[in-house]
Amino acid sequence: MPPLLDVKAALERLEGDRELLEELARLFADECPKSISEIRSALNAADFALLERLAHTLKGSSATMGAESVRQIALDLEMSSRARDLPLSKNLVEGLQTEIDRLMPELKAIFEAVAG
Amino acid sequence: MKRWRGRGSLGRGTTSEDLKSGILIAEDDPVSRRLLEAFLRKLNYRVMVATNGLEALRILQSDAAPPIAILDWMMPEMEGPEVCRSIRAHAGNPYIYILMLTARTLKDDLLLGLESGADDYLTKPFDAQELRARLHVGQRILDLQRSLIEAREDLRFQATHDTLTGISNRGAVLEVLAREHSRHTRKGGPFGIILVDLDHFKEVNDTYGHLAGDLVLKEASRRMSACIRAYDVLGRYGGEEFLLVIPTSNEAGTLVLAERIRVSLASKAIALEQNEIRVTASLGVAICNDNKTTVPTLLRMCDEALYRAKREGRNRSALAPAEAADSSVGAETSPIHSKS
Repeated sequence: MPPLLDVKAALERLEGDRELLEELARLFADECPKSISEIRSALNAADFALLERLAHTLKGSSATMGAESVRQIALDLEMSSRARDLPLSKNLVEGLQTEIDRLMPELKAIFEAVAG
Repeated sequence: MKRWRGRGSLGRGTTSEDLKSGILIAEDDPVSRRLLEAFLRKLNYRVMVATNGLEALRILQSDAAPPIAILDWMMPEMEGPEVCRSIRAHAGNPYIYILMLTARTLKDDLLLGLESGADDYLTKPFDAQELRARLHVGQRILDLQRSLIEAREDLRFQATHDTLTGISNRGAVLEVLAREHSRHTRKGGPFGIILVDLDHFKEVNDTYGHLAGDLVLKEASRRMSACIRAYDVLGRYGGEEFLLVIPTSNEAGTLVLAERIRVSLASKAIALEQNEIRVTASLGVAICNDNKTTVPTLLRMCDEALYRAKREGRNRSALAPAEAADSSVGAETSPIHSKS
């Protein structure tokens, strides 16, 4: 089972810039719900080209963020869209939703930890 | 405890010498875009942002195009490789160094990226050090380009300018004359030319030496340059002879300018190393305003006027009569007037 979120590795890639990490976590937390919503719409319309691009974008941002499990599913979804495999894509979108639901609290923990 | 951002592994602080060029980020994923932006600002780049391929292309084709671009592969409107191909297809100066940003790791895709014209690629997730290293490579290439352009401009200047005085050389001023004549033929409107020949220049060289002669030529050029407008052209036509092309000027205007030049040369002595000498010039003036006179004829008319100025006592301007265009006076070759 790939890790949900590797904060340590992400922070290292950001050269220890904690503020930047918080900002990125905030952006990603905003993006995820929007992303999954757009992905569902594309799936319902069987728009594989759009689905592929959306999955690719999510793959990129999750990679940057260090959200490995999300990245993996996004990669798989990108491949299944390219192959125009509707049943597989449907399954993967559900899997994606699950991972994102698990991820959100972890993301919030990063930027809501700022006490003062 | 507030973290002091902007130092990190870069070490030294920000100075104006560290200020780098503009750089474009084209990335639709907001997280990666923000990260890149933060990294690049830390590295002192002036960051421009596009969120899709079409916007990126527009910026890279504009006058404000930065010399470096980081393009994401998959973007709305137009993909990275396509943006790349478009930029390379309309190749002109200056070169834009392109880094393709991609989460793709398949070798074929990477090669496709390079084939489309990208100079290098970065796979996501990238880190600051790798980005910095690859930007350095790009910077080296851009620096090389800049020095090549500078060298080319230097050569271009040398080819069109007189080494001693820095004014246009003979070829360059004749080219200006040809262009002005061509414009006159198409659109009408008079223009003038002035030939300036320094009086007794051979004696200056004989008496004071050639270095003194050079000083006189340089000072004369400087004074003449100060008399003319921004769009007049002064060129070194011969050893001690100068040709001026005066656009949009009639008889009266050109004569006034010729006299201003004559007085500027005659009224104040020229300082040499050990002493001062007074130098005067004879000037021939010719106007082209009838749409029939050719360039060689115009030059001949002006030369004849200059000859008249010399004969009539030097340190004066003489105007070529308008009718002289068609009148044949003896041999049709340009009279070679004595220079001293």
